[in-house]
Amino acid sequence: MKKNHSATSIIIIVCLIAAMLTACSSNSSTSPSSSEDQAAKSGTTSESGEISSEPDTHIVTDALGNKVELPVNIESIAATYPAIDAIVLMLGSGDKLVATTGYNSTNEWFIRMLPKITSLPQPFTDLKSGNLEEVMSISPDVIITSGQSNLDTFHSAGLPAVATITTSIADLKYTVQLVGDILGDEASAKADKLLKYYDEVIELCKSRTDDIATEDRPTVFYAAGSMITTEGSGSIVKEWIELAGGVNVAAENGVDGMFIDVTQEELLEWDPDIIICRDAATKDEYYNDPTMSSLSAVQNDKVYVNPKSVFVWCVRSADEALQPLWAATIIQPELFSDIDMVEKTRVFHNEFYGMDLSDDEVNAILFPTAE
Amino acid sequence: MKTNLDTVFSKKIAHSMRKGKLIVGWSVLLTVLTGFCCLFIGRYTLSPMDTIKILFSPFIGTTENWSVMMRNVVFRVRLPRICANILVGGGLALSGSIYQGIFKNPLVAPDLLGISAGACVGAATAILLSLSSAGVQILALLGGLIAVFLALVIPKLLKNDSTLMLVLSGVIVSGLLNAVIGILKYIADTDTQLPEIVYWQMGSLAGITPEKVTSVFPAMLISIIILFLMRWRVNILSLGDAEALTLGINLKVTRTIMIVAATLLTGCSVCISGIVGWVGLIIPHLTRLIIGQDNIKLIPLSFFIGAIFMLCVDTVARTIISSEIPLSILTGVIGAPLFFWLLMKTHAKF
Repeated sequence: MKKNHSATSIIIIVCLIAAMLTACSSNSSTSPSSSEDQAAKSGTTSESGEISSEPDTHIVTDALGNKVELPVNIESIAATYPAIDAIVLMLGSGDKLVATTGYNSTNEWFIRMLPKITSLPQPFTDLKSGNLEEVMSISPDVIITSGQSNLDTFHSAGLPAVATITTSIADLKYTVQLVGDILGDEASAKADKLLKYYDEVIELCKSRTDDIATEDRPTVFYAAGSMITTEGSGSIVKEWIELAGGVNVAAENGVDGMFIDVTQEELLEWDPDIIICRDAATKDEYYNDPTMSSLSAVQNDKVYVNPKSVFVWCVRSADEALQPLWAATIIQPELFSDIDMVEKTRVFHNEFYGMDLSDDEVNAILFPTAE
Repeated sequence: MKTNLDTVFSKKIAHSMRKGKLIVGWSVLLTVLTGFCCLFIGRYTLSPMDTIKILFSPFIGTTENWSVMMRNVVFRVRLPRICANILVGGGLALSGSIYQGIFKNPLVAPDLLGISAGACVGAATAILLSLSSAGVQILALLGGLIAVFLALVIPKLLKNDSTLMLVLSGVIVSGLLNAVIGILKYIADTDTQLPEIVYWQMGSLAGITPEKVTSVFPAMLISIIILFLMRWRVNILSLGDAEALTLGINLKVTRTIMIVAATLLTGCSVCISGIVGWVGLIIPHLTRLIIGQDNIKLIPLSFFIGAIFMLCVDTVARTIISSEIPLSILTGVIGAPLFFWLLMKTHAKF
């Protein structure tokens, strides 16, 4: 009787394991298929498509290497994270945005360029795929997202989507070009123009700062949203600080990644020469905090608020093209004394957004204040 | 006289058995009905008639022209999500009632013992190692099993197997494992891996696909069948070890099979939905209030009540606002007060 029981139990355990294995095998065959399927599908459609001078669809390769078939004429677009909205707007296709995220809909510059942003639905949560049915009822011609898992979710629901990366300058450039290509010839030309401008800014900065030895560079701390949150190596922030002739003090001390909290003690020990705050409110925090106000950057009045217009310049968006130059005028003012940021800002916004800015407005962009 | 009493007694038993069967039968019907109703609710505007027609189109071969999008809403978004609701809600409630039965402890549940957190650690490790989703499932199961093992070993080491000690042990294990999740989040690549791990912790079915459901379905189904078939043994186990031994049950093997199956169920749920709190604790209690202590009826009924609960909660999560509400927020808001009410109602003394 007892033996019988243990025999049954062994059989049951074997069944359990078998079940798990079937789960695995069925899984491994389905999981990578989405991108391959997509590629296969697009392959066949392009081959069997009717012969006409203007194809209806084309295949784009996204930042993760997925080949995705998209209509040539994109009438509507949505992005799961805010920087892409700003890129779309810059490339002249703001009116094609059909959904957004909370960040842009409260930015006065964004609203000024595209008033409808305040009334667009916000189906995406925490940079994830969000409410799928809501996205399907909006049904954009293309969704721009980040990460393979988001992409797979959209593809699984039959929604056309591409993934982007904007962690480094090179990735950001690829993304701008990709968004341009998706939106069509006009946007693509604008993307080329922006990237050319960006390259010129990078070259200009490089030519003046490349030879500065590390020990001669001012140490810079970048505050992302709080006094102790920063971005270290492997971020676009490190790249523009270096282009501007400074050294990212957090990266130098081994901080790796984006949105990393350091300790107050570390920050006090590093005692950076310059602090650049993403948000205006953070600057006030430094001055009002009894501990942090002893930092030499605060004592010497070297705490700056990063310029912000349609998007904050210091991170992964189109306005980042001006960031290395602005940072250079802050970090190496002698080397860049000939650069007039007011004029640069005015020309940039005129050329890329078609905005005519008054002096007050340029100042509001260059020196944002907390509300 | 004696025979008379016997017939009364057996009639009473037969009556309660019938009543139990009736209630379980109704709960199955109600689950199917709720699931069916939830098919008609969603942010995508689709008339109930169209939904039904699309749903049955593969069987009756209607040739009406639905847009691809409409078909996808029904077959690739709503239907898999409803299946996932039944599997996750039912699975968590079922494994909760199994744990409560075999540990003879009304205060244990997959999340309270740290099993969900353990599965989450396993799954997050698999993501960090860039394993396939099969690997994610296996590591989720292993993580869950390690958590159960730890939670059971601590009271043994302290030579104290009171109700309270197992609960405290669960606090220790889930505390430790939540910290491990925190460490893994630190190591994770912010761009690609972190959102996925955070998602495990929040509990959501927003990213469900038919493939994800089918990948966990066989393992979950087999665990459910095993636990259903073995449910009468939970009654014997809950009598105490000595009684179980005299009835000729191999304690160790029975318990191990049930723990592995219940943990597999929890691990698979975590794989598709992340950690969803409270369901595994309150649904068995709620069910006990309806049908009494008998595990033979309690176990199937708690599965179906769990499924109905999750169907309702998740339908709210996906329809009430234009973005998604994480499931743990809703189950917490509903579950915590409900548990308080249950404790009041039953005048619980633990």
